[in-house]
Amino acid sequence: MHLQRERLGGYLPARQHDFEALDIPGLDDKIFASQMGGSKGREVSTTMAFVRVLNGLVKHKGFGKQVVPIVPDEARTFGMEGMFRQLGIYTSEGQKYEPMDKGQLMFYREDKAGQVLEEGITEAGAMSSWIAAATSYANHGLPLPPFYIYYSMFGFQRIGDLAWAAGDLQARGFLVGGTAGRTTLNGEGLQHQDGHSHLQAAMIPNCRTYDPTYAHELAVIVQSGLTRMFVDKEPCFYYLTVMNENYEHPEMEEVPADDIIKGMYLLRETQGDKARVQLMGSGTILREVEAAAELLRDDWGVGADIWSVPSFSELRREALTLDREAFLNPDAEPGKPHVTRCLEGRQGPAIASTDYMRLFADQVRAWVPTDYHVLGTDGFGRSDTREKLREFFEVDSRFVTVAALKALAERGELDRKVVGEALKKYGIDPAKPNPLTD
Amino acid sequence: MSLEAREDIDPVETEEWLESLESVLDHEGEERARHLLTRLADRLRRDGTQPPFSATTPHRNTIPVHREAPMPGDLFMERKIRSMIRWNMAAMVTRANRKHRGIGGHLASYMSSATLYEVGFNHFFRAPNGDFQGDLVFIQGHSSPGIYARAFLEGRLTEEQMDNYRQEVDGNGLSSYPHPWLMPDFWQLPTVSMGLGPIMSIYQAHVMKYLDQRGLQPMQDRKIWCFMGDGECDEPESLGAIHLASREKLDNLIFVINCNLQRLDGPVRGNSRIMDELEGVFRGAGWNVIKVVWGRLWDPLFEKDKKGVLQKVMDETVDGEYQNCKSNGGAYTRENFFGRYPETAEMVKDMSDEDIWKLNRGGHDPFKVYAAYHQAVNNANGRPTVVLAHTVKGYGLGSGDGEAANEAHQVKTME
Repeated sequence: MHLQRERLGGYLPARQHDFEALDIPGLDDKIFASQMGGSKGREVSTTMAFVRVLNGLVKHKGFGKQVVPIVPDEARTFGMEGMFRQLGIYTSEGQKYEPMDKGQLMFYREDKAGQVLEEGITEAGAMSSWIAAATSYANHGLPLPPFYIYYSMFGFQRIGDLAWAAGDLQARGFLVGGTAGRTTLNGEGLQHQDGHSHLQAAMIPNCRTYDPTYAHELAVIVQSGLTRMFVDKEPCFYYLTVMNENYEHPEMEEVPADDIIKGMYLLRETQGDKARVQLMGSGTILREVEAAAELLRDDWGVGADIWSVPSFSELRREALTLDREAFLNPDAEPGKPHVTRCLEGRQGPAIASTDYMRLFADQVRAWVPTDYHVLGTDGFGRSDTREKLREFFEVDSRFVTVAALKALAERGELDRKVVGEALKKYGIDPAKPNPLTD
Repeated sequence: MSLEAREDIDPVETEEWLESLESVLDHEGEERARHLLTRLADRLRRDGTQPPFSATTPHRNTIPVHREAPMPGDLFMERKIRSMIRWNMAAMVTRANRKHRGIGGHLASYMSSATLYEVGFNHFFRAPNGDFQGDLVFIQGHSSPGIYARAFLEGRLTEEQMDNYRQEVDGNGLSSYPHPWLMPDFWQLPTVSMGLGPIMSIYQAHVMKYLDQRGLQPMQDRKIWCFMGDGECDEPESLGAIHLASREKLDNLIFVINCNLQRLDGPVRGNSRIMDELEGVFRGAGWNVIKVVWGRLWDPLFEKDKKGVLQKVMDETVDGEYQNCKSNGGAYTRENFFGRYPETAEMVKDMSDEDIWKLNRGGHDPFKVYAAYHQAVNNANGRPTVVLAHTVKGYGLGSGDGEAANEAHQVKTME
């Protein structure tokens, strides 16, 4: 028995999981730095920011060749068609024909040495390729950071079981849900508009999920993820959502990288002399939150602290861990969760708004040290413009404003009648359909 | 072949054609015979007539006896090891369930696949060593007890660990199924839930070709073995990507499907044959298909079967009936299987019921399995290969303890 195994090289099964760490550059490297200083007046989407970072990564002199971009199809939707020509699409056949778009700058180039895995319309297949690349560190001793980008709705709800197995496998890499957000992807309707993938991702214990709004957040998350997975060798993988809504990205005096990774940071403050609220939000809906802060200030004299919350899920996990430590060590000084630390000592109620089901932002309720109200997109999606959808799901700047006024009124910090006035002023019909049931 | 197609309106003419074919085979060889048949089929098609097409072949071994690669090694010792592994596996599961009723575990899956794994472990599965990164083996999840039993015999798992099968919470336990999260130094590839192993193995093979072609890592002749059950093939993930494997020329991929004919509740295909169905699907998708239907104890009977009557009985028998033969024993098989035609009844008239009962299925015969694997690993013809191995669920548990019984999957203890 031993002799036969000796002849065949050793014993099986056996998993070898150590690997040579990758040389992941810091945030000051141009791959990330180009996304850290705002968009300088240009209107861009987080998808574009992501593709730029990915383009930088594949060109990295050290590990660039090991980066594996994976798409099932529709790379053009994500603005990744430039990679067709630049990197080539892998096939075992090469290219036996001249592509019809050969004369164009970004033609469809298939190649035996292509770097992009374009697997066709099979999420199960593309996910299986991602798993193979994401476990290459263990099966081949060669770490490969894979980035699988897809329509966010067709991620976890199509391939949830494979994603769970990826957790078991300690897969390392990024899943990127594109065209995300129930109201942000606007025309595609009920089966496309995703308002729950973050909850599905958060079911997997070692999957870290982020819903960034701005390019600097995205850059910080990708850089930190690469470092944790491929330098610190943490057995985890990442799920990010990126959107196709274009807007200007602000330049921050100093990007609070640690707080972004923890899941929450102060974006800015507005001043008002009547009252004050804490406004939280993620993804594109954070922009509605920012617009609401202006309405609150201009129309009602209410000031706000605006919090960007790239990861409600990470905030919850940290808080659960600290709660447990406190429970088991009753005599020790309990640790304070980041979300509590951010909001305590601030004035007024908190209102959180996202493009996902209310449960998403609700998951931090236990650790918010003030009255907490949540807006979200529960219900089936439908086709319409972004403006109409955000009205339908009651997450646009007007609804955020009214929710804040109502929260203040309930605490006696504002006259109750302003709530009705605000509804009237913003033209909100009390008889409008209920998005949860209609 | 359907029964209707066997009706012959002009046997003399048929005989002339057959003699011509035999003469070509004898004097000019197989290639020439194949060429002539292809030309005849082309001629038919030219006038719009489709030649008879069959995605499947008769219910017998793909590799004829005279082409079987001979098995090396100490066969007596291998058999002894196999028995010890099966004994240890049964003891591990039984002890765990005596200690804690309801802790569960499966005996029947590994019992039916012990030979399929053992021939692999003794002769084919290569571990990482030096510059060679080794083969990857997707072990069917429900067979994990047998893999623990082997590792225990190898001295890689302790008795304490074996006694902690499915008792992981206090540490030093063994996980129910292959889970790298729970046993990070042991299990490499999770295969439960069902269907995920097959699809992950196909894309694993694909990504390995990609790494090789891009010059990131030479893959040499590393193989990916994926073991799965016949019932598991009903999961869309199991068969849903097999076309990619042939399109991408994944000749580094070998599927081994343990066709024990049973799901958890009953037969996989009571009214037809799962092996035929899978053969047709894989051949259609461009795979090499190697069927290992019958063990070597059948070889003398095949030699006697000059008129093809035994083959006819085999081709007429459905899986539900094959299961009956195994669960009801030799006398039943003599009457209901061999008894169907006088020629076949005659073939076994000098055999005892016990002898008939011992006629083994291919997946339990190390010689047949070795020959199939040998061909599979040397099949580097640009196609993936599937080995369809005919077995008995609960093999060796004994007829009172679930062998070929519908409830075999639930069996966790033995008297």
